Amino acid sequence: MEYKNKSNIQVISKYKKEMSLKDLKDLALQLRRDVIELTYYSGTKSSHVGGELSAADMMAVLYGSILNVDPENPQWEDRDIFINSKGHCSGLQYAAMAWRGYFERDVLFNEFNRIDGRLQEHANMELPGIEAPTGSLGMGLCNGCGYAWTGRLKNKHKIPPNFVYVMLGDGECTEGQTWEGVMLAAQQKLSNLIAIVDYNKYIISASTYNVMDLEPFEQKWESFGWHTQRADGNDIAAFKDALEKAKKYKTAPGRPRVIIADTIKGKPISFMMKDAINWHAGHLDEELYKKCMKELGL
Amino acid sequence: MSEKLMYGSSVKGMRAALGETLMELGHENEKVIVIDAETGTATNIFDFRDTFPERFITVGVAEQSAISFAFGASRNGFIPFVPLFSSFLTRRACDQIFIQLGYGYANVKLIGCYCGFTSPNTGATHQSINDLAIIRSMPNFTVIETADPLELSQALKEAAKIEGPVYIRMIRGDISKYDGTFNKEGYQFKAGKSPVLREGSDITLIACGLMVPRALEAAEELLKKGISAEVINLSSIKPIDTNTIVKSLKKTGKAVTAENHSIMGGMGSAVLEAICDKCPVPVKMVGILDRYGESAELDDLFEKYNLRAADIIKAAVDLCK
Repeated sequence: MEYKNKSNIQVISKYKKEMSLKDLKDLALQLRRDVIELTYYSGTKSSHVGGELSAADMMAVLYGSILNVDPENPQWEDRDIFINSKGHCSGLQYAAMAWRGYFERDVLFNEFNRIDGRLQEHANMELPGIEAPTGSLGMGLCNGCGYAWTGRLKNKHKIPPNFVYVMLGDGECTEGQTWEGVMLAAQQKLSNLIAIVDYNKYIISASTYNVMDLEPFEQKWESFGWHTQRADGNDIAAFKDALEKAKKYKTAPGRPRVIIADTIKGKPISFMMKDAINWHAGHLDEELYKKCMKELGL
Repeated sequence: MSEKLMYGSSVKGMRAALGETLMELGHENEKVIVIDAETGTATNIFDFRDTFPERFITVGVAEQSAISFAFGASRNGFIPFVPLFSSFLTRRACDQIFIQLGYGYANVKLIGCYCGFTSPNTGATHQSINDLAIIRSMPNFTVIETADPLELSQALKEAAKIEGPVYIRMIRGDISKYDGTFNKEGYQFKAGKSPVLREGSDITLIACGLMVPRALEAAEELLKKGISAEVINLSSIKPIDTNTIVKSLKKTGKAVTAENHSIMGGMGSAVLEAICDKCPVPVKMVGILDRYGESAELDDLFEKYNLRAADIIKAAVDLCK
């Protein structure tokens, strides 16, 4: 297919089976640049850029070295399941999926938020590799419970070969349904379920502290029966370690796992980090686009 | 159908058909699972729970969770049946049903139990008067309300074969006189096909659910008044059998729709949408007007809210004047 928009960004990261920490850092930078590029070329010139940038390092770790998936066979039975419950950050997931080979890179800059485009602002099931339609917040964790419970059933109650990962926004932890899922996963002892909360401390209009305080956040999950870790979600090594620990059955037999990942909204774009409330979602004109790319080393 | 008691009421009719058909499906297909949100005692699904404990889950009183869970389960190749009270199923979990089952084209089967006024002693909070309006407006859904337990059983089996989301609404089962069968011998339910139960030439009565036997009763009475009424059982509300309806209306030139649901957005509305540009004829709608119900004895509710055979007769006579 011939596309109108051609990205000039140099590709600095390619998938390989063993990604070093340096490789993952390159990938995270690539994803951030791609998110800015995708936002600029978006049919609406917008995306939920603040939360995409906060989660970029975690997305790099997940698609780079954790998720056991096969883009050639997206329905492969034993694949890991990844649900992007904070579905408005689809642009970041699309960038990671293109990098991993689910579709061509040019799709990112030509089919996002456009009529008949495959990349919807909130992902749908038409795109192979998407595991749940999210965007209306709070649903993803219960989707994950459905995947994890039937995953165990499918494997005759032996420990399933795969994991179900659900990335939640901190804002959606104010949704009641999220806590329905938290209770359900613990009741059903879903040790094959790993939740990740992108805790960038901002809901839409203000800080989570001022709008609906989530603290004591770890204790909440812990008291519901989850194995809880707190990690720096913008530190690739620390976050990867937390995931590796969560993946070990022995870490917490019979308990679902959560990583509460401290992150910074808009990272590393200075004007976004300073004014995170105004960069939950945002439009990028040419000037802002250039500013972003400069801060991303271009 | 087996006889048993639940909260002092007999379990027969629709409710027995649901429980027994889920058992059949459970034996036939190990991919069939049942998801409950703590209405299982009333909906009669515990035989399934006790026979297939590994394929049964209750999520607590959490309808939203049940739906999103069902989505995930369906993506793993299972066929989740989710029988809940139609009121809380369609109202509490509306967003989840719309986005995850409809938009997500999930292979999930929703059973809306105790529809319309057939939760009589619970009142407006539990009475499901707009579930058809809600689900019918969602793309990708198949929407069904059967006339009798045999047709319900057939529809449940058909739903298991349909790839995609299905909503079946059903009355509480132990309503007297409504545990027989009203379709013709040899009838087999098929989505998109509506059987003509009785032929006539002056007016068409289009009904679903418990209004089907009432429409048949009305047709009998109308004949005594010299009015020949055709009766269609519109159990497949979506997809709708426009051909059968239009063919009948071309013959009779007028219709009464009858449903145990608000007249806004329900089966009658579906008929009007289907015929307005193909065969616009005078139509009167029998159903719940734009108001809430109340907790009362069922027959008293049917009388006050105009859901009797007499109400269909009155509408038909008015149209035939």
